[in-house]
Amino acid sequence: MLSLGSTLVLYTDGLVEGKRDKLLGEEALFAAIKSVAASNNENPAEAIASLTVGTLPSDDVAVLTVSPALRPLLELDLTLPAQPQSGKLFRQALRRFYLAAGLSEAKIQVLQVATGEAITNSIQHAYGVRGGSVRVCGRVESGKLIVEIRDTGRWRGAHDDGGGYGLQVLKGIVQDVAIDSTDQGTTVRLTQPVGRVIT
Amino acid sequence: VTNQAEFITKQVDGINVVSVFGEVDIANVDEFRTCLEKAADDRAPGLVVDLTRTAYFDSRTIALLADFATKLRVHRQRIALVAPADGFAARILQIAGLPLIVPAFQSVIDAINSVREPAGT
Repeated sequence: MLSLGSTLVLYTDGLVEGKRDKLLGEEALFAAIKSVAASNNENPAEAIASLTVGTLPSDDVAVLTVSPALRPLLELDLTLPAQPQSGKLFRQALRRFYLAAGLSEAKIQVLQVATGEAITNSIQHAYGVRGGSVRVCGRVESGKLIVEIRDTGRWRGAHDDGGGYGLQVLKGIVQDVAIDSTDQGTTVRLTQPVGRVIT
Repeated sequence: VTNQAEFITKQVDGINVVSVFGEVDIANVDEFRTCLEKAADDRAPGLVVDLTRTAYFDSRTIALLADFATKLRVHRQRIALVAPADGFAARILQIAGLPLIVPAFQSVIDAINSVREPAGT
């Protein structure tokens, strides 16, 4: 499997034989790939081809590059309206963050539920009719995954629409759950060693 | 109606089986509830909910399933879940302690058989 940030380059021999000397052609190709990889070019295949064969007339030149579409999201900071539809958007962003942290699919699925519980609580209870927003921040610090869910409303832990299951599920997945509630708002901080995320 | 999940009800041997494909959260848990209510047949011994292909659900879905099981029990009906071991659903159900209230099975057939068992056995 291609890891995030890597690129697979496929090409026809016309690309390296244009210079008559195949070795020189390959050297030119490697240099072009390095240069294009460093530049985050939007069309890497075209850039590689033009750097390698330049404006020389050539036939049989085809370049194909394959790379995972998502750049690794090593730090997450996303604020969305406190509305039900935001749940899925937060999960999509968190998924990128968890992938970048090196978590497996199975671990990501379970962890999404823990963060989802806190996010849903903010969406549903932090605000009155005037609405508001929810901010989710994620980072990895000395091997620990830290996700913070903040709102500027009041924490209403007692009003658990999960029928009492919400906090149980959250704490069953993440051992270190800190809830900091003030007049200014509520922050739920989930801390979990990357290597010890349960599946 | 969101497009986060598809709820498909099929009848297998006279028992309605609701399969959940996709993600269930605060945005569509009411849609799921409506679907369960429609699938609950007064004349059947119960209902099966297949979570094998469910990619996300949280405590709201767990509470809904527990609540629904209680309602069915009043009518001497049962609800059984399908959540294969080591799968996402089985893991979350276990963390929530739901299997104590709503039984979960490895396959649709196992779940149907459990719903068919006469009450009290």
